[in-house]
Amino acid sequence: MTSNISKLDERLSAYLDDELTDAERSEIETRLVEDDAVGERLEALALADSDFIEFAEEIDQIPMSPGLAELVAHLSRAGSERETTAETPAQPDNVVAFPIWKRAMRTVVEHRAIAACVMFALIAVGFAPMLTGGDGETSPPYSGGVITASSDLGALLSKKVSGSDLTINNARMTPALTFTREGGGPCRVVTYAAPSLEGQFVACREGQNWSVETASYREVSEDRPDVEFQSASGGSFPEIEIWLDDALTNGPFSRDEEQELIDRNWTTDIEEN
Amino acid sequence: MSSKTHIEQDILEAVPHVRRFAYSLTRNQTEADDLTQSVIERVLEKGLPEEADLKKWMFRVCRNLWIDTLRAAKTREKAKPELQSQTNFSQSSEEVAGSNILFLKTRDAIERLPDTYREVLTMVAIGGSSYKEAAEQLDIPIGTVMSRLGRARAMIADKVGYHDQ
Repeated sequence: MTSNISKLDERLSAYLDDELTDAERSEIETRLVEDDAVGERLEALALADSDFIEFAEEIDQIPMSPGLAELVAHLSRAGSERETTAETPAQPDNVVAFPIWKRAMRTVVEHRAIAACVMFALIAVGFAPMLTGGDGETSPPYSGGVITASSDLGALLSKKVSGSDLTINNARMTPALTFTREGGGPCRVVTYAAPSLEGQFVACREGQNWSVETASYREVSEDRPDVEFQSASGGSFPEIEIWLDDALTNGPFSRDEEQELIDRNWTTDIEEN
Repeated sequence: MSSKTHIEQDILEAVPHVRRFAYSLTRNQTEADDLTQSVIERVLEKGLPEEADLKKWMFRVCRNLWIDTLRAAKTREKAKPELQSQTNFSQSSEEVAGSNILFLKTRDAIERLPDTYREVLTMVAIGGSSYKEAAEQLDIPIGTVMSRLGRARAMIADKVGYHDQ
């Protein structure tokens, strides 16, 4: 009996993988029509397969180890540099640090206002966070890390305008502004807000992925009013501001310009504003 | 664009897939990342056989490196991987609330798969190998690939008890 059940599992499993001959497939389909238990078994095996794949995809949400992140960033930079040298003229040297940074902060305020409206609307219709899992917060991205395009955070950075947010395990991440840096491609400043930690990081486009260039976090003070996600967008992070003063050459982009960049898959031939 | 740019770009595109493949084999993020890094370094150093599909080649290198690691670990301490995975499971089960019981049962079922079953399921379900390709790489008959896959899926299904919920 056990042997028969195993044989059926083998056939059903091969049916799922489309590895049966026409005759074998036809035989299985006849049994599926005639016997509900066979249908249930097929469903259970398909669920097992799907769970196995889902388990492997968990790693997309975990930042890469430093060694791997460094290697990926190196490959990404090497590819970008070669392409830039071959295909595009050098970027103009138009660094205007402080005034642009001031303008950037205005954009943050605008985006934050839009984000607040969006959040209010979502709460009003009973929005549940997209990805909630264990009790802990998701660790924030640190400098040198790589955010892969296939991760949820990668998708947020690649596909959503500033003010959109993503919550993973109690940590909310919100792109606040987008700009291009000197001699490089597009970058995004992202606020990170979790119950115990808040901060900002800057992620720059490297190929299809995002490389974390700088990050600054601090513990949330215990006497802060207990309002969820209140924090990071309102705070000041001097390390980030200094980094931006040096790096920011073009932008911040308006929401329409951001959308245009997203639609163009982040090619940066957008006109300077 | 030079061919070197191509391989760098192709490697970058393959990295998330190789990482999943490695994670599926090791069930451990640090080990998966170490394995992925070794795969990239190996491909950069030794290149790619002519007409080989890069992603599939990286999966193959990944599996071979994992087997080497496994062999070394088993030589050192035969039962360690299984004990380790059970410990991890009991720790996380204490941390997660009751609503995640199904998730934990699934995780436990996957953790407890024998390595020979995990290997072939990873190659087919994550790596996209056909039964013929898996049989060639593992040097076993196609019938054995089919039976290991059937048993692997059945073990997960029976341990989770999808229809008992």
